[in-house]
Amino acid sequence: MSDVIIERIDEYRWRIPPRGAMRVPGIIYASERLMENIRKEESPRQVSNVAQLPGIQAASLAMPDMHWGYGFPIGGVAAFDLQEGIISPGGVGYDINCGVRLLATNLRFEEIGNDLKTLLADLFREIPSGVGSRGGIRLTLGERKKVLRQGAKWAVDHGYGTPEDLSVTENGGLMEGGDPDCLSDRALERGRDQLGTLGSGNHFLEIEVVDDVYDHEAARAFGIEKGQVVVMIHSGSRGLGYQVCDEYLARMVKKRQTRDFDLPDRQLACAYIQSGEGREYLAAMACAANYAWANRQVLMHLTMEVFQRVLGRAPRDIGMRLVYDVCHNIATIEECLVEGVMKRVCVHRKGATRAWPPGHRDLPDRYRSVGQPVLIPGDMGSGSYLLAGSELAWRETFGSTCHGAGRVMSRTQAKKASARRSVSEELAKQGVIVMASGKGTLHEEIPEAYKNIHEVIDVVHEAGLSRKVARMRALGCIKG
Amino acid sequence: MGHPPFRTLDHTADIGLEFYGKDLAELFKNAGNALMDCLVERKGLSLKEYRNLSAEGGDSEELLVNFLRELLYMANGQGFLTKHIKIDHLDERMFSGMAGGEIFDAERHYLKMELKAVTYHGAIISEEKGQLKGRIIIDV
Repeated sequence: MSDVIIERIDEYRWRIPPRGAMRVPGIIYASERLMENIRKEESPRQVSNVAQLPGIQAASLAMPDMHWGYGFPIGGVAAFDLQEGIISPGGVGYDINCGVRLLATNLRFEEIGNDLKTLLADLFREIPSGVGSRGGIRLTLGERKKVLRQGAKWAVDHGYGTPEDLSVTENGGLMEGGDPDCLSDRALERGRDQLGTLGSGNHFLEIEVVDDVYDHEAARAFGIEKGQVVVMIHSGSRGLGYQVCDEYLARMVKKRQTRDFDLPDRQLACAYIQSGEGREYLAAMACAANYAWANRQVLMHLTMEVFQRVLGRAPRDIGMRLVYDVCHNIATIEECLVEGVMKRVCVHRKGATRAWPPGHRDLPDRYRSVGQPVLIPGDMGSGSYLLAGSELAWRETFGSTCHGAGRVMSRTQAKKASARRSVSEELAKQGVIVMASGKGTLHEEIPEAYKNIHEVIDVVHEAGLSRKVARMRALGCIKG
Repeated sequence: MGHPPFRTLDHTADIGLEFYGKDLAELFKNAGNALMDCLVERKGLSLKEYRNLSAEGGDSEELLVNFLRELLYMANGQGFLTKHIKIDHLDERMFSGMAGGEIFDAERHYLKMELKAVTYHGAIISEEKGQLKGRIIIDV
């Protein structure tokens, strides 16, 4: 159990007072019940470790889905001053710009009943998934570098999607400043044939039905209604992103003795944003973020092709469109409200999602009055959520909210717990068809291995970090 | 004597490895085997070729992580699965040797899971009952 002091502020907020080397307090958003589990692990210690990093603003934050990470906790949010602050590869995570996109259709649940199995089987066949999966898109080195500079725009320019998709992708699907020269040959090589691949582990592609709508005004703005078929895609920057994080982290660990501050944990290795290394990491991270956006853009296109082939109707005719695309492992330079004052800072969201409030000037016109769509994937059985950004998140969390359910069971525990069970049959009884590349994946990813997503969502909703808009239930799921 | 050369530790979201050795050389070999065992069914691997393997670090723990990072890169980036590790030189700051194994073949090899990276978090080498014990955490 962590020996960190945790004081209760109110029903959903907990404070770690600044002690020792902490420069700011820690704030954890959780219910009493979630907190019981959080207290048992090292994650509050990780929140206080992050609070020790130079240039940190206001508070080191953790969302209700927080769990033990390495270095930063998963579910951690921290903003840093651009002049005196740091950037940390471990504060972004290995899967740079791991994220989620939601596609809407005009199809009703009843309409695809008979085609569901075929749709899934074809998606499973057409979309490479699993450990080390390789895709069908082979690019020259020069072309790959364009992907790294241009992100989702590259994909759109090459026929994967439409320009409208970019307007409903976080940051327009592009992080400026991507410089492929900041990537090693190894990182570039690993990006060679993974564009348009799902990956493995908790990544998935899911056909879902909108089960419930809570906020009708926001749902209308997002084009979502009860009974509608939607598709959720969860993937990231694949091996290229892991390699970028791995190499920059190693570089920063190596240089730790020359820093003018102590690190409570090597995995928190970081560099001043204004240093050569800091700038190079930002430029490399931008490349990986762009690769991930291009990847999800291609994955969406492949999905639409399968729908067209199976249903015999063009994506346009079934109203297939991108609702939004969010990242939940990223560091971005944003203008945020920091203790009541607007300021440009470097926000790290490691297992957390941007959640801009209604009225934010950089939101697409049609969403501006209701706030940013926030996509929260759940486990295979419990469904997923569509939320909207809030004013409170803007004031307190640099415009951030949770990212998912968060594990409560290790993979080994999950495998043991489900060893003699047929996970796919159990899910089929609940009306979810699952297909997975890896033999162990379904066992590792059983629903009970995750926190109760409804509880996490209730906390962010009640605490005011974002508003519940709709809940989606899985009909079919493809896992790596 | 007692325990196996390595074992997997249970972590909520990641995987921990613990390994032992009578000296640094044995510890590193067992660490490498533990990593590969997590990634692939090692029984099915053949020794078809040897490739150079080297790593550096500011101390033995950083070296251990960097050594494992290199082995993992060979697997994830080059598709080269290591069955056997040969050590030419090893001190607290430098490893040089060879990795023996073969290129991944989907027909014959079964990859157990995707290992994203070897982390520095909590990496430690300690002495226990006259032998060395190491621990690392892998991001999966």
